[in-house]
Amino acid sequence: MKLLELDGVSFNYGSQLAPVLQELKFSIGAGQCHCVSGPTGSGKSSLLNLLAGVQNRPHEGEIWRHSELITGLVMQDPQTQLLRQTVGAEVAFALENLGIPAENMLPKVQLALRRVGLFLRLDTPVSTLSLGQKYRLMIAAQLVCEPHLLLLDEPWAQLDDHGVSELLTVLRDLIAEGMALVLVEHNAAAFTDIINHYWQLEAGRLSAGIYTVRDTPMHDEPTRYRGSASHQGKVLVSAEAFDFCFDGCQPLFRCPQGFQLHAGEIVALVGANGSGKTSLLKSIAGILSLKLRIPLKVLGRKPKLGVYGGELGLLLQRSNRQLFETSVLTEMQFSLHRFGLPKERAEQMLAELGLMMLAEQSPHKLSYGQQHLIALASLACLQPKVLLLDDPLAGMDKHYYGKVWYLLKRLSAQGCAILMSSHRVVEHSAVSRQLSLYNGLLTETIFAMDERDVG
Amino acid sequence: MKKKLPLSLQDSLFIGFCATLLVALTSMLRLKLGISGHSMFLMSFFYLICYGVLGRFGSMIACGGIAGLVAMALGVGKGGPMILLKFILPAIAMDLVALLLPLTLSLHWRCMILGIVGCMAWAVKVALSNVLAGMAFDVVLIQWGASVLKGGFFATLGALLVPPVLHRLKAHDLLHRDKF
Repeated sequence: MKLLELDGVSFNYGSQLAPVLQELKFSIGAGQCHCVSGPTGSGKSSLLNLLAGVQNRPHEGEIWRHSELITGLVMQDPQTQLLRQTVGAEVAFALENLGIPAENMLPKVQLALRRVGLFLRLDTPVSTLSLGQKYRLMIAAQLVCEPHLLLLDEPWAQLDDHGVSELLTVLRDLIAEGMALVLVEHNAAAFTDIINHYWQLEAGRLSAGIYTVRDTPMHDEPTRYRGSASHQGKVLVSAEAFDFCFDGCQPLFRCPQGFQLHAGEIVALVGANGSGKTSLLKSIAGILSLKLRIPLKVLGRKPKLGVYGGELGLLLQRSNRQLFETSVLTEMQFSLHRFGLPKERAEQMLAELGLMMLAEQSPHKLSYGQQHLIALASLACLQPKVLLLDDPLAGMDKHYYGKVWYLLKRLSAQGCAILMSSHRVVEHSAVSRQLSLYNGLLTETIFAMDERDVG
Repeated sequence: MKKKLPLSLQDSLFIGFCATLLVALTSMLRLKLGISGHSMFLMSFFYLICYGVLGRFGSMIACGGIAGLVAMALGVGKGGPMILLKFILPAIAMDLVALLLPLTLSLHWRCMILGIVGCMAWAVKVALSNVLAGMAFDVVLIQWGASVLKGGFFATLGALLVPPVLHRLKAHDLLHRDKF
């Protein structure tokens, strides 16, 4: 049974801007799973919004929907979609809005939670869930309306491997029940078991197939930027053995040996969703104040908000929260102006990254991956001594990966110590060490050179 | 083909929001400045925000009408039932003049002109009150001119705030208009 069909659909965000979607032809039937891949910023999320019917800008062409079609959308950033404090209230939110009597809600909410494999008390606080559980909660909040079509925006980027395997089980069951799925995903390989149709969206055109990135060797020249090596090896961040715990709570994790971060090195902080990576980064930056203080020294001082100025940069996981100007260029120039640095650096950075076409665009309208890169570039312009990155590769295709690594290697060559968190092992030769945060233990892993250089 | 969107629920709520905020702020910020016309600051700002966001005839009248009715019902400001005129007269004048202004004129200038027009209409209400109080015609005229001058200053200030606010709203993808 056909659920939805696009016929010659074109869409853009303004008559003076290039079209995002052009002449799309696309049909979705019950029980099908479609995967749409494409470069960062190609309009995949816009396509999902259009399919979900939440895009209230005018479009060209026809969108046919089955008269009884109900659509569920799970957006890229889980934090924007979770509205309530507890699991039960979150799932019941849509029912409340539809005016369903309270006594009828409970069985529907419980069924939706069971379908996604969340066997939790209804009063469980949402904040205590891991990201994988939150993702399944968001799906449950959609399933409670019994949708025929479920749209998922880049689940792989947000979830760790365990979360992805949990999600796959849920999706497999939903497809078996006849639900149609549309996945927008850079890493289609993670969902090959369930995908029937592959599409690639490039330059606004949708065609069959999986999007592959052409090589970009220009961004892989780290040695060119190796400057003076005198600062290499200087300890910029050091922590003695500590237990990390929030006020009045059990320790979230322990670090029995402490750790150090040296100038000019890139260290990966790897751990599952909810293991405490973000909290550790915030503690190092001095924006998380705990009663039980961590024995940390950053640039020779105890971490405190505002004391480092342009010497320390923190890229938040939700990078859109640190973007506030009206254009990309002014956004990048803001901190340069604040710290009395030459504003020309912003344009130079954009030109080097091949992003000059974004200079006059609003950073708030960019895709998730583009926002990450712009926020990172804004920090990189300052040439900080310590750079803390919370999941900087989320929502990016390989082309944008190349740009991020180019930036990181350049900063590293200038003597910047970089600590980047990720929920997967970061396989890149530029990473010198890894801090692993698993099972409540923060330990260090050192890569042997030959091990890293394999392949 | 681009379709002209009808007035959506979102637009209607926005007008209501502006009107309510205008009355709420007017009642909360009872500034004893001793200068007449400072209410034109908020009025011109909120009406012009409606004009910029919705870009259609009637948006300022709707905002002024709602604000006037709410203010009259809640007893905000001086003037009793005349308060409705105080809110709606500037809105009507601004909406009508907005139809005549060429879109090629920069938004800053359009806002300033509309703000001053609104102020002149607002001063008509002051003049009407004075006439009803039995004031001589030439004194009414002088009072009207003084009100226009004082209110025009505040109206211009409010109007000049509008373009940067609209620019920010557009940057956050909250406005779907290509051009103001």
